[in-house]
Amino acid sequence: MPGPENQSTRPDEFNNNRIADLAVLVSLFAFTGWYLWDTWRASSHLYNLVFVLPLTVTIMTLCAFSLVRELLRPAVNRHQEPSPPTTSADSVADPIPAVPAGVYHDVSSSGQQGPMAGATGSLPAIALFVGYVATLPWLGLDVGTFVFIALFLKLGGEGKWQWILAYALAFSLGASLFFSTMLPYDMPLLLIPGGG
Amino acid sequence: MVEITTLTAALELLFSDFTPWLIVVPGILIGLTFGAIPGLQISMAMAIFLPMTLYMDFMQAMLFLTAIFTGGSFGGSIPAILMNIPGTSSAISTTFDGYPMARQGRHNQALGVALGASCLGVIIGYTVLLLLIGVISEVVLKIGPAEMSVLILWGITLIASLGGNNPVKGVIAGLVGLMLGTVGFSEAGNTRGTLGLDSLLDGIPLIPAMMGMFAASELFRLVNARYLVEDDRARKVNVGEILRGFCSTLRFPGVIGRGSLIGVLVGSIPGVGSSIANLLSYIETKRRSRDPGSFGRGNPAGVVASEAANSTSEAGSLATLLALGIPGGGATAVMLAAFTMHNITGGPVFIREQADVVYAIILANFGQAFLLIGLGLLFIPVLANVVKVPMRYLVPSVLSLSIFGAYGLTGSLTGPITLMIFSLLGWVFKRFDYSIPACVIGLLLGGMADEMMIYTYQISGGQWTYLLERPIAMTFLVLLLLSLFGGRLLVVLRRLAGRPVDSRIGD
Repeated sequence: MPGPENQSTRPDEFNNNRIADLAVLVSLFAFTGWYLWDTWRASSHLYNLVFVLPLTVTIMTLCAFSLVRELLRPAVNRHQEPSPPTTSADSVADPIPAVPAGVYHDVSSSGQQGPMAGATGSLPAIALFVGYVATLPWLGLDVGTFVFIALFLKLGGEGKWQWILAYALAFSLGASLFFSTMLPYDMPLLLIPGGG
Repeated sequence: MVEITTLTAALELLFSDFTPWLIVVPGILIGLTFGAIPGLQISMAMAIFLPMTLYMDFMQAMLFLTAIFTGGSFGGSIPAILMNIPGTSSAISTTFDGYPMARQGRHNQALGVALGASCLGVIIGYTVLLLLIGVISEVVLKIGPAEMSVLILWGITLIASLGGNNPVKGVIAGLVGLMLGTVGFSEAGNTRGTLGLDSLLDGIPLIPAMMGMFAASELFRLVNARYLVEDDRARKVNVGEILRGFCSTLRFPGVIGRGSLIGVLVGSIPGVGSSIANLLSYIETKRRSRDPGSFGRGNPAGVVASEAANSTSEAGSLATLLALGIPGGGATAVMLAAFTMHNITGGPVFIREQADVVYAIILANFGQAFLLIGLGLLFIPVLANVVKVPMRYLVPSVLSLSIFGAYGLTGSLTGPITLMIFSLLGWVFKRFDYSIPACVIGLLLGGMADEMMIYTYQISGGQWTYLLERPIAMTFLVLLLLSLFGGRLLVVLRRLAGRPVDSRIGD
């Protein structure tokens, strides 16, 4: 799964980022609106709305505010703006100045990249994961896990097929047996006996 | 206060025979193992091994179960630090600084710090419990929806401080989390946002959602990395570093003291205790720090704050169980089952008539804390080798393990599907700079906030002056306001008095 490394954001890529950013805001606004409508439809009694109504209205207001701010901001100016310093608790994705050089490196999160840079590198992994979960009802946790791990290793660049198969088999078998023994209910397993 | 004669009787009960201690070591190891595997819960471990306690006397049974509890509360910090997976809601804030430390190659130090803070937390927590069990039980009885609402509000203020680069997006993420936390059957008797799915009637499964938001979204981002720690030299497992990390915990006496007090007091509140205690401890430590910007980027004080609080919340929840017979969460509910199996009912009568047993349970936990130091120091070097595993192996293995764990938590495919959906949401949030911790905290508190607001409204009849009649709620409110604005108030007062202002104050 090769990903772009240390690319600077090109104008067309920047436009895509901005469109994607706006799409996320619109999606959050729409989802919140739907949630308020669904809650209201269930009951318009005060008890049902005392928390949800102010909460959803605040979210929609903030989304609208952010949307307008983004739309009014000239694209070229924003493109030239330096990235602001990071202070959030989930900012592991960003470079950490306090860390000695070379200790921390993340291909997908170079400070010069836009938010969509590196996304393409993650997409095959995400697609594989979604496929894994979606096929669990048919493949079960044993076979599904075997296929997922084998394909992931191949995509990740592991060259030896025998090693891929051996690791995928050992992991899927070990995890399936361990959890099916420990859990008090049946698991969806295709080949291992005792599944539900 | 402590009665010396009862204390002597308790010590005799504990040390007249060494056999009760034989089951403590396996208990701690079971707890460590279950805590360290993403998706396996301490309460699950206790439930699985509960039938074994039928063959033990009550004292042995309690030692065994509390040992699992003690081992598990530290074990949960291991995946939180090494894989960014908070296996329980009480380990959420351990990920904030523990995982960045691991990515910087400071995994040995982070694990040592977590162990030190957990052990010290247990010791301080049970000391407080030994001295104040009567007082704590009286206070817990006076806590109602109004007090809980204020406490939850305190937790929600954390959302604002985790806003990140884009504070507006951070607040949106937190509020969206709060909204998602209200999905399902509400206290008012209505269903919301379930899309007609029966599996969502109980709300969104919290732990799979948390695992997806924190861990899976992070793992997708790391698929192109070679190792968790890129620098080959920093990837070593160093027992000396672990020990140094362990000892360095002593450099944070204030953080540990504050975290332990928050843990034992907030932890004693049934239902919310351990989930909120670690967050409150983290937020207070960050607010009082000289360098709040370093939090979330690998500050060991963040790990200490979280671990001290979550391990002491165990003592708090045990206080409620012993003094009132009310379980504070899943783990203490299993302990209550052990009480029933041995025909014992917790409560004031139990404390009065079997005080020696109560003291013995509390004292045994001191012993467990010391045993945890030894076992933890043996256990950590083995698990820390995770940093040596290439990411192309680690990512699919951890994702699969999370799927198994999510299935184990819900008993249906709802868990894996929730994990998948929230991992996608987390990935999108991370890419577009929405704060994931804020969203997860919102998710954790949303349902409770809605519930408590309805209860408070019902009890007060819509009169907000009702809060003024609740001294404990008012105390919490004053503490909340002081924690938010106390620094600035002090600056203003000092300026008015014409005295120099410490630059730290007001941070």
